[in-house]
Amino acid sequence: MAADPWTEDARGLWQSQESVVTRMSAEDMRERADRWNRAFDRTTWIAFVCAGGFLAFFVFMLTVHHTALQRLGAIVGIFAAAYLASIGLRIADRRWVVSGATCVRAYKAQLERRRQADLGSARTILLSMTGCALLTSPGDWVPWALQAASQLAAGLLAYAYLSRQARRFKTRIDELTEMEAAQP
Amino acid sequence: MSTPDQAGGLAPTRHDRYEKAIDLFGRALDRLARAYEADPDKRRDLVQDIHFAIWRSFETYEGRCALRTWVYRVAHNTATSHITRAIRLGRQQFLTLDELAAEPASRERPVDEILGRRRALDRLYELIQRLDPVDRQVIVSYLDGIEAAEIAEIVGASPAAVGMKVYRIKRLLARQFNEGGPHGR
Repeated sequence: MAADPWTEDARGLWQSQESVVTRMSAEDMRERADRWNRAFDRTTWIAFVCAGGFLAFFVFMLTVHHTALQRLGAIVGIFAAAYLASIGLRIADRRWVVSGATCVRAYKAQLERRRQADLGSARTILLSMTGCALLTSPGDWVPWALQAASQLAAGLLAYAYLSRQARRFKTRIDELTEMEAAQP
Repeated sequence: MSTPDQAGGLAPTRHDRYEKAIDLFGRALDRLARAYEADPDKRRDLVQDIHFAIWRSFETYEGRCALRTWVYRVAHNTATSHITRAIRLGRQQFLTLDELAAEPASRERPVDEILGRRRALDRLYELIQRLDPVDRQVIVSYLDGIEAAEIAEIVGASPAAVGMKVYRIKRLLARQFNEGGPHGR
């Protein structure tokens, strides 16, 4: 890395700026630890609340509906709730926090966590919308088909949007892996 | 007032390491936080998050890498988490070095050296704050005087890849800062 006058000047400018040195006591550290734990838990409770809501709704639907198609819809919905809970558990795992790892590895872990969250949400929405489509009573086939098709289309749209975001994360993860693999 | 760690006899070592790290790199951590967060209130919060992450990380630090490498890794990782949360909320968008290089360079000429230095520094921060995390990690480490081999160890990429990024950063900065130097010589 050859030095040149300009970049040495930029480094000098950067390093000579006034900065404040913060120091934290053990008490401050304890407070911050509590705050971190609360913030981390907040990122996962939504998945569990949604999973609970889905589960309650589809179990209720299973008890009140009697046709095979409707029951299949309720079972698909229950599966969506279980899947969402499993994603929530995976996301809540502390292994994503890798403070001492190399920056590329830590960043990859963060992106992977978000990718799994997006993919999990996309699949859950698709499954629950499929479940809802099947739940509708097929008394008259034409309105039922239209309603089911609109529910499925909404699920597919949400799936396409969220999985596109997940693919963007995957692309960046692959780029970072390539950068990491080049390390001797 | 004793802490749970003091009862186990671990706190003095961890806290000593933390104090040493802050003595050596406290100023650099403040600059690093500014490179990641422009808002002063949020920056104070980020600095405290970085300090806490460093303090906590010493529980698992085994001395396999230099203290500076470890401290920079933890600090960058904490700051990266901070900005990726901001991205999720739609507050910011990251650019790569190539995308930034495609933007027109400023033609602004400062009137005196002190004002020029201040403006150059502000613009340097603006530019860094738009970069993708990995590019940001490299440029901040580079400006702090760390050489490519150690930056590679901090970031976790090959020295060749880091060297290439540093080369692009130099070109970008030279183009963005009036070609004559950071305070408009």
